[in-house]
Amino acid sequence: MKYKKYSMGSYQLHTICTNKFKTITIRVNFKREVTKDEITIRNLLADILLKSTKKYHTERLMNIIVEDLYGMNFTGYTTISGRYNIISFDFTFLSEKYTEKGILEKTICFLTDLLFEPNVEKGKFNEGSFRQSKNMMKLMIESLKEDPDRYSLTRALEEMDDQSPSSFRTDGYIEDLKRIDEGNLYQYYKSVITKDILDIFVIGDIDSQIREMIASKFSIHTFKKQSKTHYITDAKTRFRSKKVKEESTYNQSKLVIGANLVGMTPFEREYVSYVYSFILGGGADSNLFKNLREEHSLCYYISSQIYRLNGLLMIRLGLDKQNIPKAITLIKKELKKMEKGNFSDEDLMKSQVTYVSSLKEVMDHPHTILNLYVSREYLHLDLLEERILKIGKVTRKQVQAFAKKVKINTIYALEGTVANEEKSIE
Amino acid sequence: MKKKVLSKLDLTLYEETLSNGLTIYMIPKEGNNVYATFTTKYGSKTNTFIPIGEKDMKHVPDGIAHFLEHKVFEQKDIDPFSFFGARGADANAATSNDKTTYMFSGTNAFEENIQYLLDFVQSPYFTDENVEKEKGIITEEILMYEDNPFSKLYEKSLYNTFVEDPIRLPVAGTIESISKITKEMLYTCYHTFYHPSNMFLVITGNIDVDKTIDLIRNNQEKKHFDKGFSIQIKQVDEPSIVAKEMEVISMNVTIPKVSVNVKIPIQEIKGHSLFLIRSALFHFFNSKFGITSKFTEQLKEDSIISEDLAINMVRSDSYFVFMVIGETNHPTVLIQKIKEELKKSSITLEEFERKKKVLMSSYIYMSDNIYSLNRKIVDNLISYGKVIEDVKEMSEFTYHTFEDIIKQADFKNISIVIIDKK
Repeated sequence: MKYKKYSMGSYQLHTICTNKFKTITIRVNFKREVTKDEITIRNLLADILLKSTKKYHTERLMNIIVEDLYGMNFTGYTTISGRYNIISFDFTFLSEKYTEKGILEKTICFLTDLLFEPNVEKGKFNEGSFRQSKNMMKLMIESLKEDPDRYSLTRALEEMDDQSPSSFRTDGYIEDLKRIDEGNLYQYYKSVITKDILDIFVIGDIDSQIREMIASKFSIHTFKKQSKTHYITDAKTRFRSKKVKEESTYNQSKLVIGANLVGMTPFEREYVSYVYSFILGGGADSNLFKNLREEHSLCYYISSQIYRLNGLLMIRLGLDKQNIPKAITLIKKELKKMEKGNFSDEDLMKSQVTYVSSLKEVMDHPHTILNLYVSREYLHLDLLEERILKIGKVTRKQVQAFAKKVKINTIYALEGTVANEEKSIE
Repeated sequence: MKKKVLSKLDLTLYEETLSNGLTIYMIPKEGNNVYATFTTKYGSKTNTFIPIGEKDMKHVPDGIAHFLEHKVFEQKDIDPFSFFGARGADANAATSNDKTTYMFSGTNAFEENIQYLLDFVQSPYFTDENVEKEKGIITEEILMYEDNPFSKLYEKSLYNTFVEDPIRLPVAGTIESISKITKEMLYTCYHTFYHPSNMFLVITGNIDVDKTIDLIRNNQEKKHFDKGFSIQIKQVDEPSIVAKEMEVISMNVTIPKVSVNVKIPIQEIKGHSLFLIRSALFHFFNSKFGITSKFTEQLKEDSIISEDLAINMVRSDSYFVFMVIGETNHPTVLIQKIKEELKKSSITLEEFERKKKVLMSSYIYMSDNIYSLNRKIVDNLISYGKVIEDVKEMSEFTYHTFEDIIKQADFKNISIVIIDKK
């Protein structure tokens, strides 16, 4: 496997050559600093570009072309990566060996058409495509309320600090959607292709020819910009944790505990926090799972997760309304145990073995290898060998010291209607 | 050991049956990871049967197969999650209407992991206390599904489409049904359905085939199993009509959801293999209601739907059920249009060939991923009792065959479920 990075003037091309896979994947990333009011328009843009182009002017025609390209997979989506908002387009297709000669060039033509020849007339996106994309965005934004798990997490993040990008709703906002029309969306599109930071990543059985192919087809001139850090380090913390209760008509209640990770070092962020969260609530062998589910039968799922870029730890579970106070007490006890170092050497070892094992799996899939290089480019993360080396150096003392940096910010409960004391077993 | 080269996929399938009846399927693949699944041909739909060593049919509470799946993880000494965790592996299990599968994946300690997978599944340890404890956990699991509109839509669709077949019942059972489950009942189900001859192992990924087989054989030879026996399950005579033609359920949703469930009798389609019938029906529903159909395009233009329709398939012993699922503020219009479209003529040759090309390519995509590959083998074994060589079988799939199957298929029995706003 060979990685190369080329500076192509206004953008960077990253190639990962390997013949391990039957597919080739191309990812095109446009990124800029995140602002709350641009989230919706960026989502809409990522979607509308997939709907039609000048050449293939309906979604149906687009899908037919893609089926003709041996069922290529293509998606457009946005992610909020700390302080940045990234629009990504992924194209995964079978290599020539499994299809026909010229498939790479055909696909690149399709993707450049999609990105640079949108279905635009007189400075406006096509009305039909626009309406369909907008309808879909509306549905997506509103569907948050149908999913109590996602809804409770979103609400908890908002209660923690509604000014921080951590709390921005990734699906966007209805009020912003209302303000978007075919004209201003096209203006925004023009701004994205000239002002965003652009990176192209390619992985698969490719050779140097790909560079010329992309260079000749990507006639793009963005302003060259330096990327700043993605990390959020100035999150609002609280001396006393905030308690929020919200009523709902769901059956089950949801409890979310959000904590700030105050004053993390880069080593803690990348390695110690992983070990900490793995032991606390990383899976079916974690302390939270063993105690709240197996010991007290309070829930079906419970987990903790580190949001590295945002400096947060989030604990989530679904439970009976009656059991909320008890669950909070038990979770707080588990957090204290981590501070006191009440976990075994075996727990520490398990987290390290699991980390290494899953890193090795990364090398089995083109998408995860690609992500490895994306995170190296954007977040300057270590590559595989360094990661394996460093995770092994995490000590019990470091985990304990890290545990003291975990400060509960908000305890958020979405109360359901089912409350039955008999269902919990002491 | 049987060996079969999977054409066009650059892979080889190995198959071996041990003396205790356990069959092992292996596909070695370059990479670091291994995915192993251990499946019993026993799921939620099997709720009336003659237990091993008994003479009469016995009915067990709904949801017991799933309950059993949870409890198989209960061990006297060590917690399976802890065992796999210490070796950096991920373990899990899943129950559906026709199977229960235990699995792990990991990039190291494969030899220990594969033996332990067999060991923990083959050493049940149920107590009155641990059975009671599980009821609280599964109750929360059931409540979680209850709050999910799509789970509800699916569950109700099966319930209303089938009349007699226990496939209509929810996999996890109900809060009431699981409250009746006892340790004794779990042992009964376990001993009847977890015999090696009713199970199979599928391993895909970075393995040495000969070494793996030796390891498994040694492991199994150390254990005692009664002789294999034929399991008697109550046969149901499922009529072609649906249990309920229409039901509207109110839930916490922002946009109503609709499932149009078409119940198609398999035995009425003569002269074709089950694989081809399934492929033809998939082709038909995908072309009619999928992303390249004029039907979907028109619905979007008219703002009847915003998201593509989803197509879901469920198979019982004698029926295929195709579910056409959509989110819409105009449920009656959408239902009417789907019903009309079903009556219209078939698809064109060009469309047929394009969809076939996509299907053939999908096998190649699948073969690059040890998880998809493993799931495909498991699915084949449950559905057809053997591994299907898709690329080969598909070459027989002509437009003529397709048309003949569709001509014979009966689309008139339909059940509709709507999840409406509260």
